[in-house]
Amino acid sequence: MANPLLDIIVRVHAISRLPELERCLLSLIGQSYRPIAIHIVTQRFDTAEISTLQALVDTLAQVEPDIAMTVLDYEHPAPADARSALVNLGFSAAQGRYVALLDYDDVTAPHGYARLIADLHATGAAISFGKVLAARLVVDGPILILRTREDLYRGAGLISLLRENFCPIHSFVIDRTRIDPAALHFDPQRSVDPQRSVDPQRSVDEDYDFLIRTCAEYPSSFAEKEYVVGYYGLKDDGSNTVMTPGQETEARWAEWRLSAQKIEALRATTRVSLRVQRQLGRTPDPELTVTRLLQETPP
Amino acid sequence: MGEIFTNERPDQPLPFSGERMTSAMAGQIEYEHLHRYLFARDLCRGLDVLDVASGEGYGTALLSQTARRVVGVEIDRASVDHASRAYARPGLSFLLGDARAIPLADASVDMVVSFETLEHFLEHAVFLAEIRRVLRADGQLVISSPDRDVYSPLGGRVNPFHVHELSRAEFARLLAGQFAHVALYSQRPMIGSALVPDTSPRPHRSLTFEKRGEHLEMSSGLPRALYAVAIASDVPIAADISSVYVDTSNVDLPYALSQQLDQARAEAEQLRPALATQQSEAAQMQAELQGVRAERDVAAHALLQVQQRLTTTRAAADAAEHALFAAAAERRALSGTFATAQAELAMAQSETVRLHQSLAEQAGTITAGQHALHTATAEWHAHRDAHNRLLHIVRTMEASKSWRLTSPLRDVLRGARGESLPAKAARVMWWTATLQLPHHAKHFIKLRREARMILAAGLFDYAWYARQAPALPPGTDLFGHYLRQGRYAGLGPHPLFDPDYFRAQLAAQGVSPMLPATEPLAHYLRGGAALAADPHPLFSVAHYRSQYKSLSGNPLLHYLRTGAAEGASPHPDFDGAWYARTHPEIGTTNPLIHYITEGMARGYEPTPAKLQARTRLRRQALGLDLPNPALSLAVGIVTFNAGDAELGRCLSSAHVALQRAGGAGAVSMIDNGGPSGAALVQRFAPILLPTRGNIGFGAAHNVLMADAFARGADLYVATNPDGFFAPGCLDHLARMSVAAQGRALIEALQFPDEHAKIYDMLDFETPWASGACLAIPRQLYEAVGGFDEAFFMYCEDVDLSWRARAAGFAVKTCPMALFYHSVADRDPAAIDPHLLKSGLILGKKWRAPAAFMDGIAARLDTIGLPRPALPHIAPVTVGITIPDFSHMFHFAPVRW
Repeated sequence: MANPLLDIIVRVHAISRLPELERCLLSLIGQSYRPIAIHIVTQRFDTAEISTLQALVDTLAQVEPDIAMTVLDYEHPAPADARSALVNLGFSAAQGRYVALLDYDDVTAPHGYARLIADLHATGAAISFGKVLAARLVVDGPILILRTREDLYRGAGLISLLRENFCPIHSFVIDRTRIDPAALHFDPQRSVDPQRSVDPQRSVDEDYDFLIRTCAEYPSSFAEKEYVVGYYGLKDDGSNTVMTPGQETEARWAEWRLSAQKIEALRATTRVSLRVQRQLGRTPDPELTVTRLLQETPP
Repeated sequence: MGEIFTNERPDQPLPFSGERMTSAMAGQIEYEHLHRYLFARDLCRGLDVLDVASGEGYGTALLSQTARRVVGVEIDRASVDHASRAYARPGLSFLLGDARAIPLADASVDMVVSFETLEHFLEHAVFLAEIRRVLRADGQLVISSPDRDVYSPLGGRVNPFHVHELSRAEFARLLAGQFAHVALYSQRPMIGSALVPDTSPRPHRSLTFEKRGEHLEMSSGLPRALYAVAIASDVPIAADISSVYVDTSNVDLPYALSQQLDQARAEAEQLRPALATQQSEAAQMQAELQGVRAERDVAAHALLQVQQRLTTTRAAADAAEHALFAAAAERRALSGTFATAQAELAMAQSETVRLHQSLAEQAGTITAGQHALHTATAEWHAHRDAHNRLLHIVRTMEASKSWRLTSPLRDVLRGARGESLPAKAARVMWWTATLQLPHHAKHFIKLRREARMILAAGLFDYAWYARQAPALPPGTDLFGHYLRQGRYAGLGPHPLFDPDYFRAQLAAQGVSPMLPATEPLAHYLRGGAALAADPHPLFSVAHYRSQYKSLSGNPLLHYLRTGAAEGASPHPDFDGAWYARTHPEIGTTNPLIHYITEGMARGYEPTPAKLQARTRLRRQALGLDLPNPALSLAVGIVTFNAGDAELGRCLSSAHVALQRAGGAGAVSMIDNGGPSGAALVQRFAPILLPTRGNIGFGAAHNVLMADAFARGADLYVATNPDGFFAPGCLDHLARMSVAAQGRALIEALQFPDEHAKIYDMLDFETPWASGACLAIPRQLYEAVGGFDEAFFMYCEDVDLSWRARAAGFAVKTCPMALFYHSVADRDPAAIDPHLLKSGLILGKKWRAPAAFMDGIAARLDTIGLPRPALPHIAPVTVGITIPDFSHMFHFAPVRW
């Protein structure tokens, strides 16, 4: 019987980063899992930008004609930072059983998705996580130089994730048949308030918000947490979309602090489902919140 | 007469998706689903009931006709909404929820009904535990599951919505594991459906009669039942029901269909002779067609061979004609100088012989000298280490309290040699009272004054000092350590004060570099002439004073307290304002301090001019600003039983990459294993050279390379069939080759599992280049040759790289030429035998140290492989200092 379809949603925010997007798409073409469908979701690209992007997609389609690659543009003017909306647009286009997410500057390892999907099948979990290594990149215009790789994102499992996000957006695959379709969305309210943000193109922790909600409700698997499924580029030109130690201004730190407060509020109001509590070996308590779970679990 | 009741139907049925039954369906699927609900309906009278996986809701509505209260739970939101609208009535409700986490309170229902649910997920135990949780103590479960052995026989149709089906026995075991009493039933749909118990407490016999073709069959019970239905409870089960669901509306249909079938059969019999004749004619035509196709294939193959021979012959003829013209011209040009050349040749040969002898002697001398140098260096290192250890001990002892406290005693005793004991004691007391205490007091006051001075100046940075002295245990008083020991050992107290550099600057001004009475920082802070000396290579006092002409105090302190904030420049080679603008992440950190402590390590540049120069160097090395390189490219692929999908992707990517590179090029292939797929060969039309058998990776590339260069290629790109090119890969390799004027061996970047070996981040030179995707220019091939065929596979690329370097060529990595090549999850058992043997050959050829060869031997022992027999290998004599065996099979320092 053929494998179920894996939909991969790739967020792109600026046409100027095409060299990085090409690397991202190459890494997807090289995936050993089949069948896959790639949905490239863009944020308010104009006609010329869509045309440039489509030319890249058409060229790559000649290399691997068996992969469906589509470009979807988020045209609505609000919110200013459409990071969450882009993911939701991708979710709405996904048709397969499995779904994975990436940003344009992420790179996946060849057998990553195959390993995570096999793990989903074996464990019955709704979401399976692998390891992502940090890749420190020198960016000199179109020239990208890998200076070194580091194992920065480490955690023991679900409790570690609920305490701190060590799982980048391309470290997991979701089994859509095991998640309520209504729960499969990113919260647009996680976007940074454009009136207060120093960089209206940024949103903060929108993926962590999703992971806390999902992993508190549905069984998750970290059986592949030591298997490298991707690389996260830490670029020396400050163009990263997440917090990079040593590369944050005071104003950006302030945004992170504000986001941390929101995350704390989410932990305090999110209940841990009975089946997740059983997965953790606890006696089920319908009133247990993430905050209380973390308080009652020694580090 | 029985009970007459309403068959629940919605106004608008939900569309049937294949996953759950809806009232839009009829026939067998309707019989089996409806019958199960009818069966359960009778058991629910007056009870509180839960229907798990209630779907469209028609069944839940049926249960509500007899039950006191029914709740339907369903995971699909659209179904819940539909059911709530279609069956709105008191005592009946529908909730959104998962069977594995039922949204009801504990012990809240008398009866749980769940039909065709558990095969849709894996967590059966969780599901049953949830049912037990919501059931009251005397509650019952009515549940069904398809019998996997009958429903999904091996090789038969598979229901794509079923995640885990159970056999009848597994189903029974699952229930028996959770409930004290289980009554198992069999259900089989007919024109209608029958549902009978498997066992009965009362003397009971049920017979089934079935028409099977021309015969009838009688069975006990219900044979070949598609579904198992069960009632389970912890209390004895009273119900003992046999049940039949009947639909008379279609009773006559089979007979009518049978009549039509018989008529159709009779007509078919009449047509059979004509069909046989036509089949015979068709078979004859098929045979003729096959014959024609075979002839066409033979002709096409012959035509292809003729075309290939013609192409080869034409190329050879063209080449021969060119060669003829060239030879004639050359002969004319050379005829006059031939005699002279012969004489020069003879002299040159003689000189060459002499030089060879001399070289051999010098090589011997150099080797001996190197050995002696290594020995001397090792001895010197040993002496230096011993000296340093001794010095450390002496300094530690001198710095210790006990040594300092006993210092006057030693002084006294040195001056009192030969005196009596009372005299010695008197002398000690006198020294202590008159000199020792004031001396220590003076030293203490001086130390405290210097400490205050350094702290007031802000020139002690704890983080920086900890980085200077990483071996200090945690919790060490860093400032105290600096005052007592560190400053005398030359450790830097602050990123902007370099003690050694400051000493050198003082020496240049004629001040003693030794500074015996104090240490550099204290000396610097006391001011005076020292203020004219630069405290750090990137802080120029003269340059700084030119911006503050009236400045009289310490310029470094002025810069730290005022100047940096005012945008003053500390040195002509550091542009602080630009640096802060370019790297906004530094925030309010002093730009120069950030550059010294972080930026340099990150590869940041101190001025825009240096950044531009760096970018220019990179672009030059990569040939990014060159016009389109007009090179003839040859992509060579050696296959060994490559899969069609993998090879097809490699070939299609080569086609795309050649187009991007200007289109002047060809792909050639040779099979080291079985023949490559005919469809691929036909589609991509590579130049297919005849196989030589499995002659090894390098040898096969040598065949392709010789052929490619004979055809006029400028650049040969050795390519692994299990990878594929990024669209711009060949263009970037060609550009970099042109930029290097054809004097570089260039590897594409292995992506995404980049090799860890180092490469220069400006000119991209690297110790060796991988053969997975390797550009070899004609010039290099003609000077160095191809791969050494002593290597079957692995390490031949390292050997070629070292030979190229020995011949004066560069070896480079092209970071913009991406070649996708997966090396993850490779099987070491398949790789190690070849890799280790090649390592031994490489080691022998390039005179590897014993540690490398012993390392391979140890690895062979570990994996249980014998030491392989090696071919005869002549060690190299040129470039012997090039190899790096100290990093084992990395053959280079690594980046991570």
